[in-house]
Amino acid sequence: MTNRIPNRKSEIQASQSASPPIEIHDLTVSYDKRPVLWNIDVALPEGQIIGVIGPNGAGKSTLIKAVLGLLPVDSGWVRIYGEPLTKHRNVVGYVPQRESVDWDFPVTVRDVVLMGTCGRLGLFRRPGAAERACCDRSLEQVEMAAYADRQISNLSGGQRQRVFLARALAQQSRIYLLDEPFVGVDAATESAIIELLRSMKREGRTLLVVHHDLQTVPQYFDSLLMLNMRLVAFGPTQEVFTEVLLQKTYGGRLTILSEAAEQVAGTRR
Amino acid sequence: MAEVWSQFVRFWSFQDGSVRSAVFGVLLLAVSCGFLGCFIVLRRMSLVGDSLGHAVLPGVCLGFLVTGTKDPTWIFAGAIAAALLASLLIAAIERYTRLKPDVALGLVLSGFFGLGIVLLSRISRLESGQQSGLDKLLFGQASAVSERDLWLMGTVAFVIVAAVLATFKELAVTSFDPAFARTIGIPARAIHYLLMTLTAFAIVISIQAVGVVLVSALLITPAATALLLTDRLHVMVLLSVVIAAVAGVVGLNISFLSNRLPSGPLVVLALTACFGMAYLFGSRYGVVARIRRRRARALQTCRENLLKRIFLALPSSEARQVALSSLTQHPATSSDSLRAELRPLTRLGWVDLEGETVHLTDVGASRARELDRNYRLWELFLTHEVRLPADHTQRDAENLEHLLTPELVRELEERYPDA
Repeated sequence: MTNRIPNRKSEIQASQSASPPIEIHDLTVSYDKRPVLWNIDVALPEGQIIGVIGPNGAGKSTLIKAVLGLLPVDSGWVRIYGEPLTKHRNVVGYVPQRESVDWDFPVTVRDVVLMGTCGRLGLFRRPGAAERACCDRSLEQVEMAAYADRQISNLSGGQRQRVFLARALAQQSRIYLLDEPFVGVDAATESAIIELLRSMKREGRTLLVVHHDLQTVPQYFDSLLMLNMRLVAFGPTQEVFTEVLLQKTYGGRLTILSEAAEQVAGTRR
Repeated sequence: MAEVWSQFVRFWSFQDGSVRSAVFGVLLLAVSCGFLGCFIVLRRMSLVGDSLGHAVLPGVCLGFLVTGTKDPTWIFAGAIAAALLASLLIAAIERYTRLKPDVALGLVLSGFFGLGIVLLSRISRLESGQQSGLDKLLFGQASAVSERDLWLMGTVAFVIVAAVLATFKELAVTSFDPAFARTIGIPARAIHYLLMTLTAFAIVISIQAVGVVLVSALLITPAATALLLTDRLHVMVLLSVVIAAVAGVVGLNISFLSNRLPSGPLVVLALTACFGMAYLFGSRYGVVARIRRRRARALQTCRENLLKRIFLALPSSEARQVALSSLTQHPATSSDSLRAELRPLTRLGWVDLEGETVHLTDVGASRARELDRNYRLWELFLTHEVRLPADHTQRDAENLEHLLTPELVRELEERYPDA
């Protein structure tokens, strides 16, 4: 994968402010009034690949969606470079889980990648030559240029993930939130993706990646956010990726928090 | 028979004012519903269309009761109000109860429709109601489309086309991936309400021609048919307009020829016939095309297996000739049937048959080598990667060697360079 992203590292750094790319303060989020994230406090450093790990139901995807403003929050706030998300829509790119969309949708690979440029186009404007060029570059970066005119239902799992990554690249964001990009992809795609993420990092971008394969954690991530309904630990991977903290993260659900969540939801008397 | 013919000529000569306005009206509906229907189908909102179709009936009746005449403006207003109220109720039930969307739709649909039928039967007892032809709204009568109706239909069609074209990009993104759409700042909820409102408009102008019971077919069937025929969104939109237009006019024509039959069900039947044809004969996803492709593949497998048998029966790697008799696996196989089997291979230029000798051509030899190689590559893959025991791999390898795409072969070659 190549490293041709139009924003040069220097440009990105020139516009950097002192505030962290993502700052989360006292964030509590609920589904159907049942809290799944409790009072999360964390500030993510710039220009790193940061992993989010935790057991099923720990709230990993919820955290990402809350940062993106896709879920209503009960308390707390999220700031992007010190300001609310609404001011920085195009600064934060998103790679959702593959299964979240219908792959029988009648569009081609290129159509999907072009969707990544819609954010900066605004209402009523159509993608022009600049957007098409950006789309082609993104497809080259994920080695999918040969598939540009294919209908998306004919793609394998790994190819679909590459398409989603290309769409994210076309967004040209400084921060990326990726929800399980390595799930169900072949080994070649997995190494291609991590290479791509590294080259994005070299350009000064910040990447937050929900991950579940503990074996690859030390190789992939500079920092690690360990989550189990509440924040168990956050820090450089070599410091927090320890037996004790893993045990704390994965050692069963915190029954008290689950019980309390049921109470809050009002499903029990 | 002669009468049917003269009616047919009368229809297509468009001399009749009511025929003209009916055809024109149906074309306007085709455009409106074709544009909206694609997004309704892709967003899995088909049942919403059906519910709104039924839910407008009480609104239409109330609109009539206000003035006591069939004033399109009032009827339009009443219908829109009913559609909006129904969609609010559906949203409220989904949000504030544990009931799921399909239940909410079913509840609102039947409740509103029940009220509508009660009001309709009250109206039909009124004197003004009997002449109003309001009962036609149940199943539709396109010949009753008036000039004022046409103006309303034209305006609504224009608004719909303009709105969909202006927000095409947003509609596409929010239909494909609503969460992503929101993260890039597209007002997904506003787009959703816009689509719902436009759908209510389209339904209201459609009920005169197709009736409340069947109006959703105009939204769903053309779009569903188009989706079977294309993989591009804008092509799907155009196709569904064309399909709706053709089926609409055909339905009207039959309704006109049959003299009494309501136009709604006939238009819907014509649409359903289109869908059936696309389902059966669509070039990519049609049943016939799929069966044909599968049979072609089976035939090819057969031929290629025979080719490989010839290749393996060659006495040496340089030799190109083999006796016909050495190819029969069972002594019982007659040389006649073998000759028949070999005929397609001769036609493909793979072999030449001279008397009792089979001669492998250059083309045939290279294809046979390719197949043999694919077979071994795939077998290697199965034993090494899938770790199938050797006695399991053979069958799979033999079936797949015929199907391996050039890309897959290249990938396998990279894995096993010395195969």
